[in-house]
Amino acid sequence: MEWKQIKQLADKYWKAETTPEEERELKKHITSSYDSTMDQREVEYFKTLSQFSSQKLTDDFDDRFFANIEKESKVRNIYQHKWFQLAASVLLVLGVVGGFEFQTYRSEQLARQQEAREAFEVAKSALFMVSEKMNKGSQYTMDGLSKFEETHQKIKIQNYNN
Amino acid sequence: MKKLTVIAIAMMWSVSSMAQDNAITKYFSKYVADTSFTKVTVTSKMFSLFTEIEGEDEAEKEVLEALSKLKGIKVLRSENPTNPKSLYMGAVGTIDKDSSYEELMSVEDGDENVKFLIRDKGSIINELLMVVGGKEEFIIMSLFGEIDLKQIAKLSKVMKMKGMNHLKVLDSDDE
Repeated sequence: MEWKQIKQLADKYWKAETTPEEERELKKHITSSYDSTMDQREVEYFKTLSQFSSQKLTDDFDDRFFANIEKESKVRNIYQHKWFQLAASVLLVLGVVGGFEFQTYRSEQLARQQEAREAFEVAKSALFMVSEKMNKGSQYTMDGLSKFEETHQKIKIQNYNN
Repeated sequence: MKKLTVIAIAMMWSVSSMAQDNAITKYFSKYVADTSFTKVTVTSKMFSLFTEIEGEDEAEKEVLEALSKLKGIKVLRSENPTNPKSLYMGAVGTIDKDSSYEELMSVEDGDENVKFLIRDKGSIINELLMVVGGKEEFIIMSLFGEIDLKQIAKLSKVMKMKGMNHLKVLDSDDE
């Protein structure tokens, strides 16, 4: 087949006017003859097409195909299992209850801290009151002692003078 | 709910176990029932919660230190009683009969009478009892547990430096 004919067939092909026979012709000859005026990309395209059409299904194709499907449905079955659904719902319930419990725990903890703070303030005031009164007592003692000391000194001086 | 019950039982247990530890429960329970008295009780259960508190300043840290060995505080306070002097004399008279209490210090001036008594075992002071009879108020306060007098005396100095209004909380009408 001349390259001119091939070119014509190709043009016809792109216009989608070829018959299946002509397409087969074109694929057959474009790979065997070579012409530099032909667009290399066009040649590559038809080469690939002819390779596709030469591929054939092997005998075990069906088996492999169905085996694949089986495998996939097995994966899906896990989700459909009762125990899986049960586990999921248990987890969900645990999550909800846990979250709720945590909230309660947090608010209880805050309340406890608040309570402790208030009690602490009371205890603090009580201690301060005791402390203050105690120091007031000590102050009197100190005053008393210094007065005693003063008097003692006076008496001593008087004795000395006599 | 279960938790609450456990806490309630724990508190009741701790209260009952220390029931005889202080003079107020021992001798002044009649005042506890008196509604004209302000009663303040801080239990050991509450002290255990103080571990969650961090002292905000020097004074509070000193207070936490002083509180750390205490088992409880009880305060009875009456504002404007008809005769604070007789209440004071009565209370002091009652305590004097108990030989386990020793007088630590007493101050009697024109404004108020204050008496400090301690109950000790060996070198450890188990209770510090303060009775105050002023012109307008009568207070009995008991600190029990393990008392460090020096630590408590130190508090008012720290407080004075800070210029705090320490009586604020007790002055307000809290139960």
